[in-house]
Amino acid sequence: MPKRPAHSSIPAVRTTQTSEITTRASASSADSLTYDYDLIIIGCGVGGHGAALHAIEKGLRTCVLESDVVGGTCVNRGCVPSKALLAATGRVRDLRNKMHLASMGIRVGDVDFDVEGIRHHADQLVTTMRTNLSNSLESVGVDLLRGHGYFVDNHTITYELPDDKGGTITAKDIIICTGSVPAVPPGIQIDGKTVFSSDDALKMSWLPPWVAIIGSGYIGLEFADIYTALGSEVTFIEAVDKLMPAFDGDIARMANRLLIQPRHIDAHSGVFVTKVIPGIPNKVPVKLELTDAKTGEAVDTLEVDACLVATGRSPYTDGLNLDALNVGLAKGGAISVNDKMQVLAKDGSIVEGVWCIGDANARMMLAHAASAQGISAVENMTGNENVLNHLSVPAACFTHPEISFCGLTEEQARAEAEANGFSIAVSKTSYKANSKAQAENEADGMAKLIYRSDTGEILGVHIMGLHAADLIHEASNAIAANQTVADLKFNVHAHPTTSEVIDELIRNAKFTAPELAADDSSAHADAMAKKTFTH
Amino acid sequence: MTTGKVVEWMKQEGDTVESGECILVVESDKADMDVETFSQGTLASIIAPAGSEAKVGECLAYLAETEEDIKIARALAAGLSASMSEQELDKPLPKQAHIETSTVPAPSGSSSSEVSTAAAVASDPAMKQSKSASSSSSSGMRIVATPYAKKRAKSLGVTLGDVVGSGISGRIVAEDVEYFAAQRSGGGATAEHVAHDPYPTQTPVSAAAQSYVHSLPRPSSAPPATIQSSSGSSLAPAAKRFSARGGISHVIPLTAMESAVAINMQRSLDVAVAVVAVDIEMTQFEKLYGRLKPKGVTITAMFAKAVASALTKHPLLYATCDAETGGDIGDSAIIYNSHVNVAVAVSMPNEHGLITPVLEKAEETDMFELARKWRDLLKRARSKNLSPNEYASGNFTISNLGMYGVKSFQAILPPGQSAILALGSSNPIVTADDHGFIGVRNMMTVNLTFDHRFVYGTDAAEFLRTLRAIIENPELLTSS
Repeated sequence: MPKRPAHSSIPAVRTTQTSEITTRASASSADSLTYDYDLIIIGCGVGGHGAALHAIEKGLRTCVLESDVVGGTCVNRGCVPSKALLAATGRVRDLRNKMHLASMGIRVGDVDFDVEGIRHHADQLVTTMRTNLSNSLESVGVDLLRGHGYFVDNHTITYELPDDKGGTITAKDIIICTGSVPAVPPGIQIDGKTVFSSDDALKMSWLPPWVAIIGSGYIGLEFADIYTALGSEVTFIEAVDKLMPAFDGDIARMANRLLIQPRHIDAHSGVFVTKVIPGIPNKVPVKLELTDAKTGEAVDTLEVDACLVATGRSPYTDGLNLDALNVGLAKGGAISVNDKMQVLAKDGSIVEGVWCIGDANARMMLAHAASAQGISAVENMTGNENVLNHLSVPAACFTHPEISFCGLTEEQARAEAEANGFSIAVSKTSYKANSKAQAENEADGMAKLIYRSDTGEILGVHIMGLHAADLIHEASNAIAANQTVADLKFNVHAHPTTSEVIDELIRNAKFTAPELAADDSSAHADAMAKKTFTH
Repeated sequence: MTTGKVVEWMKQEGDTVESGECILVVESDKADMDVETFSQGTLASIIAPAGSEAKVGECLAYLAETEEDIKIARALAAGLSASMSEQELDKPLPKQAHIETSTVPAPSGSSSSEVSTAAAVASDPAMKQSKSASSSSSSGMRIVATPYAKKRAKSLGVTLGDVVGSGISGRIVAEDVEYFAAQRSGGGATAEHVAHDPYPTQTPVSAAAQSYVHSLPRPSSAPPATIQSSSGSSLAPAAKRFSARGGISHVIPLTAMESAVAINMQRSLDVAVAVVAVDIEMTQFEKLYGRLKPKGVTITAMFAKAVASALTKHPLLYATCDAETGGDIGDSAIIYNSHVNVAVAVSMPNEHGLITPVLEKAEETDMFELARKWRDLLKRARSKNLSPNEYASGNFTISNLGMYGVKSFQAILPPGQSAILALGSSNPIVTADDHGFIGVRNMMTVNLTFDHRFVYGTDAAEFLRTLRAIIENPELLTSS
């Protein structure tokens, strides 16, 4: 049972309970006499939290069920600790960059760090965020229950913990947001010490001098950033022919130039890891057998100090008893949903009253996508039809320098254009033209805007450089508001800021707005919103 | 732009390419440039792999138009890497009718970009970044080397199979590669014991000597060119080389400007130079300066004008020799220039830098106009806004340290020029005139450093005599 911290000045509206809950009356719902709650949310991660807050705003009696720690992956095993590590190690990297500092007239002696101190910073942050999250729910009247829940039917959940009887609760609507776990390819054994996933990597129990990272997506890149900042070396192993296959081609090339080439990193691409033999920290190396992805021939054997498996994440749906709803799992273990986040049964029909958001539906495995989907689901269940345009959800990679994007890559946009008979245009700009970036002597980077040449509809924006993760929102919000390139021309950007990179990008986009009926562009936006993303 | 970096090859060896297709991406200091091929054919062999640097004009790859040419191209490429040593770098590549070379494009506007057939990259072309980056050597032993060790090996031209690893389970770490490279080139020199200093400082020849002929010795066993392909890796070796000299305060790698200056100064060692000096009486010149200064004429403009006027009578002194571009020195030609472009050496006020803005056609420009042009050039030089034809088009250079009280010095000849004039300070000297009367006159010592392969002592002396006459009777300068 989570305790409210002694210093909290927020009065408790409701207390949490572990005993069986009896039926209560609710002012807001016509079905209040039938169900315990208007909404049960299974999983208190970022998705569940976002959905819960929005539900309370809409006047729904809400309860959130959590079987492990509040905050889910993001707070405990993902975004929060990794950003703390990146912040600390990023500073080590900067302070050790004598040349960069000398160019600004600064001289620094030896910069030292201790892994424990860095880990402590991350741990502290996790604890704080976890507490904030549960406080923010309790203070607005959300019931936070502890237990692993499973479906009895589409309005009934039974929950329990090994040491707790739990109970059974009913609701008009139920949202599944049970999240995901790190995916581990077959043949790889995790020992948590020398062969590990991001879950263990974030614990930073020791600093391996040479780490092989399987997977070159954003998780692999961020860890490579952390390890190399502290002086370790990294070898990437990627199954696809080129590194960072999910990124836009220009960004991947620049990332290769800024994040890989100048650092103590090398890479093998087009290669599977077929066997990993764990070692002993600092004594026995980890052996990895690499085979060609196409021919299956043995390519090489690596001997490194540690191996990080960063091949993606798998939706977690264990023990939900989805059979009771006649719901199966799609490829990869995801729960199928429609655009409104309603769960679909094996025959494709909508399961009434059951929704699924976040990593569990694998539409877009990002924390803020989960909460956006949660808000959309709550809107739909309260009678306001809402479809989240996933193209307007930004994504960011917190390497140094940062990478961010929203929408389609140029390759995806060209494919769309070819398939649907329109043409696209691309505007590109370099960070070198930006005074703020030059003032910081961090002018490596670029930005890219892909748009339809006939309507000016924004298809995708990609940024790599200083503050990229913050700058993307102008673009993502523009897409969400259905703005075109012509509308953006009126945006004002403070000088001197890095946002002027976007200003430059917009100015470079050659486009004159023709007379166009509003229907055409929004219909196309709807069509594009149906795209699925895994990242 | 004098060098670029190959970012990525969009086509691989063996691919067919169409005219106009982008085949590689090159990085300049501004942005990435897509490079298209003008002809179609097969990309037969890549000389400069992704990640390597190359000079403008250097061969990056061979394109073969027909099947047979592919074999010839491959042989050429193999021959190029096998025969790379410092002495042979100047040989021009054999030209084949059917094979085209894809070269690094020079950005428009740089009329004097370096065109060199020397290949700078001393890397082993077999060490590609590929799936089998650490494949077994011929003996069948697997080589385990860390990523940084592989990068250092590539940039130092070291074969990993030759290196003994000191890491866990015998893996090769970067320090092992560097130690191996140091042993190989230094002949036993370590960072602590600097028996062989690879960078001997060039002390200028004694200033006491007035007029003599000498030839500077060729630099003995200069170390192989090391490629600093990334900004981070160059610090450690520099620090190691000089650690014996009383503890390192801080290490700052050369800026692009400093690098260019260093390279040019080093190149001057290839030229046999001599120096001739003369003392010039400054009384009349300074009086004229006093009258013209309120009208905006600067002392630099006046010197430039005096020098230009003198040079018109001695065209050999502002000619260029084409021995720079390789070939036997005996086969060279002297290229006489139609105009006198006077370059004046200036230092940058806020950073360590040296640049030579050029006053073009100085012989036909009056001093007022020269002064105006000079002010503009100076302003833009200091804000680094000069284009290459404003600082690289000089055919005679003036260097003035008189304002520092330097009595006399000898400047180093810039590449491609026949002579450079070093002006000292103007000091009151007790002199005797023709009638034996003693007086005090302002005298300035000038030293002319010249290319003695083509300019002889008498040529230099005659020029200085003309110059002296003009400076001592400067009224002629105002009537041009």
